Amino acid sequence: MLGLIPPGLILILGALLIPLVPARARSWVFLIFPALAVGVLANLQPGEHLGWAFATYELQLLRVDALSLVFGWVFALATLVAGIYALHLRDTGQQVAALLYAGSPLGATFAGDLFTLIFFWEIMAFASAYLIWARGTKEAYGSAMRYLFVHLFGGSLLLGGALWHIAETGSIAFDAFEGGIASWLILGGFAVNAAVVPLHAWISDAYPRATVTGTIFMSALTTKLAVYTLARGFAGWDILIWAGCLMAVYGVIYAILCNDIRRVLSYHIVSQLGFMVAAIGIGSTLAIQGAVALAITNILYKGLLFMAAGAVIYSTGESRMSQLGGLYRQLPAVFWIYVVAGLAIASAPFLAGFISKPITVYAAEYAGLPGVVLLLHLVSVGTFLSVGLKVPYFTWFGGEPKKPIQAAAIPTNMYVAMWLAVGLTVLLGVWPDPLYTMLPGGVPDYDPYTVASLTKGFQLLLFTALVFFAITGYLKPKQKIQLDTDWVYRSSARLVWRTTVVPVERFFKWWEDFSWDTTRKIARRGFDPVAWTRSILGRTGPEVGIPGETASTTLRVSMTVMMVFLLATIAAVMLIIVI
Amino acid sequence: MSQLPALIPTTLILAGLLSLLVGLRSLRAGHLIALTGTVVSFLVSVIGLLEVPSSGQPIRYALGGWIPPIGIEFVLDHLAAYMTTLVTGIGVLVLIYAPRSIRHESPGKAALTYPSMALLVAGLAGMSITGDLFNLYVFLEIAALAAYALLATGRRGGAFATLRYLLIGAVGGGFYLLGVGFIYFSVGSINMADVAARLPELLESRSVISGAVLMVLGLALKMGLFPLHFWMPDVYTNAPSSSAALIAPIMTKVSAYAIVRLMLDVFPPGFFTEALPIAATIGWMSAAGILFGSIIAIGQQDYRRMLAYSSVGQIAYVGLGIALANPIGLIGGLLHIVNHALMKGLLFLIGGAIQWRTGLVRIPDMVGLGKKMPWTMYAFVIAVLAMVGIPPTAGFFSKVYLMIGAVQADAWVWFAVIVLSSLLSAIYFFRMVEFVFRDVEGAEESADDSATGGVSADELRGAVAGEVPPSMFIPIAILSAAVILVGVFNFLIVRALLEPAVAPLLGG
Amino acid sequence: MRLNFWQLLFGFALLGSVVLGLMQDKEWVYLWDFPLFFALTGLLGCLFLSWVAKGLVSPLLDRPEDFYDPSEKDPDWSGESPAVAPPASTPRGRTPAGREG
Repeated sequence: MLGLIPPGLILILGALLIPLVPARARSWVFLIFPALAVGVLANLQPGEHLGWAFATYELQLLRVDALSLVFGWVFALATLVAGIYALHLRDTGQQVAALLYAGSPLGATFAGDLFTLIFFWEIMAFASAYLIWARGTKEAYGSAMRYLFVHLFGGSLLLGGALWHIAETGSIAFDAFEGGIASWLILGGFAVNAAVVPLHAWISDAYPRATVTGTIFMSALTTKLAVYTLARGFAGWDILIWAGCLMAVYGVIYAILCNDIRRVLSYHIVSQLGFMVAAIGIGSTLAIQGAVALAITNILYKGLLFMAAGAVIYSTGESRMSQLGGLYRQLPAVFWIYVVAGLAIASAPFLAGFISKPITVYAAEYAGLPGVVLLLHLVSVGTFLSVGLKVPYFTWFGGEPKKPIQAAAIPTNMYVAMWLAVGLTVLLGVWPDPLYTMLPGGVPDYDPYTVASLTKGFQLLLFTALVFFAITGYLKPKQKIQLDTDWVYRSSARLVWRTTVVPVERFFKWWEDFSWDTTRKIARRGFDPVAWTRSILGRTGPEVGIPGETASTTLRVSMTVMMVFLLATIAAVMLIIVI
Repeated sequence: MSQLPALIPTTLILAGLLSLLVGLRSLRAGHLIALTGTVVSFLVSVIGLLEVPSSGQPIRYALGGWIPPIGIEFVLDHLAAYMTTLVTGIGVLVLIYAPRSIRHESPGKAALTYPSMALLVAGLAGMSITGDLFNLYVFLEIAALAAYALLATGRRGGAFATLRYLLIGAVGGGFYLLGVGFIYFSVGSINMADVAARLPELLESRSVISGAVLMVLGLALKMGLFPLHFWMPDVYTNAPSSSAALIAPIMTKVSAYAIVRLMLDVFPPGFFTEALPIAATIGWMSAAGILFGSIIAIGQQDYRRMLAYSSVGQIAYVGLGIALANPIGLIGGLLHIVNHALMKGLLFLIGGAIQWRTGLVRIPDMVGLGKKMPWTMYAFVIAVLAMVGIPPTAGFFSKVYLMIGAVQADAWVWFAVIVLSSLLSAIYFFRMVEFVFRDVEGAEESADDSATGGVSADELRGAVAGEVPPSMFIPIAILSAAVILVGVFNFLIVRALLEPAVAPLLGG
Repeated sequence: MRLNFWQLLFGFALLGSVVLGLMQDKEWVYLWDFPLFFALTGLLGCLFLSWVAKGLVSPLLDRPEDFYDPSEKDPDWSGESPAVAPPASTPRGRTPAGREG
């Protein structure tokens, strides 16, 4: 019945309709749209297409294959869960923005041509920027602006590269790219959204500052769409392997250091993206399957981590570990939810991470990249350390904070959403087949549950934990921030502006003043040449006001001067021609 | 039907004169006459717009029955119809908008403003349809004089800025006239078609070259091409909002159009690119102008000054289209003429609305304005989205065409400049959007803003949603819709009007 | 040393994983096939990362929370201070009405 409707458009339509719904029902009606989208998705078969003629081009609004289908499903489901988490919200603006924001990656995933992709890409930037801005704090305003500009910059790279590509090849299709400057520009555009270092700082700047509910949407969508587009267009590009490794390490080091819980999680997104980007760079079927599986499961438990952190922030009003502690008595359920998510992200056995992340590492091993494998194992240690141990310990235990915290009650819908996600995490962990069958290329050639892999998993986690509990004091969070690459445009913006804009303006001002002064001087001399010559020859005293001089006469004379200048130019030009 | 072209400027001139006389007795009647004249002229333009593409032939009209090339003729072809419709259309909207705004900003000067507006539109429309080089100068000066009058009615600073504009405009017009003179000396004719026919043999002559350079230089001055733009910021800042809303969208554009006309229909194809590096020079000046305008606009605190510098950048897009000199690049530039006219017109009208309601002109003062004037601010957001170039607004498409044109011309630097400029525009415009929509404590929705220079509570009666009167709101709404519609349907405009217009570039 | 339930369980699991690891007889193809590799990775890796983070990176990059204070940030964002006055193009002081000052 629903036929071939791009699911993204359903949500965007929802965004337009939702302000019309009465306030009380809005958050519930919100859920209808991702549900509808899921319904459409259930009917889509790989190989289906939907074209649309626009001007001289044939756009591909719907391009269904295994890769786009699996991402489409997870985006729709994530929106549903996040919508449940946000049922308590009374802010129409955020709800509209969230639907727009959720519809765009759905639209972009199924886009078969570059124009459609770019269209949704741009909407995504604005809608998500709104979710940051909606927090209403001073930092949020600045952060939203910076976020917007970084993403517009990425969008420009994408647009520029796409136009270049279209002009060179004549095709608007979005498929694997071959190479050449246009491809690199497009890669740059994707890289911004994928938080490739050094273009990643927007994540740690913006995600901690967005609204509690907004960040859930953001963590699930923007970066994972970028993973999809990289997988589609740049699979097998070697540079991604190194970029991914850099991201994995970079992210995890910062994650160990940060004080704000959501900032820890944001940097950790960078780290996890590093795994995915590196796997895409490896490019083998197994690697792509690993990247996709990791992306899907990441949406699940990263979202859960943000939900739990969001619950803490909602309840206590505080997000920094240095100001938190001893919350276990007040928020025990959230603690256990978080622990499950933390273990999942560290690839603990029987949880969703165990059946996805090891595939990427195994693919690296299979591709003959031992250095990468070792690096990724090290990063896994850091993952558990930062997200799985440090955050829950210092938030829920770790001694009482200086200022006692009173935890407010957490709305039931948040719990429902969180427990739902927990359930899915455990379910996928023990029964990965539904995910595996949807991966591009079918079920991966990897068996997660062997005694060896279980042992390795436990060893890694347990020994990391051992060390952590031994050096807890050393890792105590400090009330500080860390500099990152965003320092470049946060500190130097004013400096750059001072050096480029101000001198140019000053120059023009000087030029004008100079012209007027000169004209005026000539005019004044012209009134009474005799008096002037006398003053030069030293015959008279200080200049006195010249009789008959008023503003209007000066103006008249100035105009005469201009005309003289014009005539002189004409004469000069005529001379040139004659000669 | 062949009388059509003549009707366009003559109606307006008549209306202007009548409006002046009648307006001294009854302001309302004066306004009505000016408005009627503009509406008639607009309708005639629309008829022409529909007629010319379907017949494929331009409509020619010889003034006074004197046969060209001795006589002056009007030629309404695709490009001319495109321009006059734009010019008269904006004229209609601004004239609808003007009365309340003028009453607020420059009271007592209304009787002079309406006729000046009609004459300005007359001059610009005349420039668009004339087929004679000297006649173009005449209309150019008509428009310029009307513009000076309109601008000088502003605040005290306006007089000085206008005087400077006058001097510079006179120089520009003078250069153009000089150029026409040189062409006449060598070719013996000033009818565009005639000159075009005779020029190919004379291309080596120095006077033809000088003539071309002078004409372009003069028009570039009037167009505000960097670095000849310096008169613009003060003029726009100090002018009354309705005057600025009329002048900014169309005045500089018609001068740019004149350069295009020279390039396409007067001088042989390739003259501007191969024989003389005119196109390349314009191109680099434009590229610099785009960057310059966008960067300086970032630092501006006054709304109108920001728009002025933004316009410097935007007219440079048209210049870039001219410089690319390939069909799609030129189409992009021409499309941008309409797009920018709509967007900038809308922005200036909004500025006038803000000034009317609250008296504010400085951006930092406008914090939280979204609460007091939500609808106006929504229109502002649409305008901003268009200026930055977000699909499906009009601004996006002209930029895309320009970018494709740049790729085809191997102009990578210009390509990068266009891309970069969108980002820069985003900076200064979104800064203001963000300001305006902030949740500020104490942003009471007071109805009486006479303290800051806005209206009092009495004057606010009858205003739409408590923001601005219908006469001001409707043009804003129309332009907001137009910005989106022109974007969505831009391919119609391109196919029907612009592609035939640039046909000469393909050697046809 | 009195250990509570959790600590005992933990120690038990640790031992168990080590034992299981030693029981593997996989051939040594890669470095990580070494029996207790992952245990050592966890142990040494955690120490190493903690040291790198806290010992090396933190001293370099730590800054006070209000480092990017609004007064230091680009004034455009806060819109409070005009960084440069617009060129005074109305040279009122220049229309001569007497002495050339």
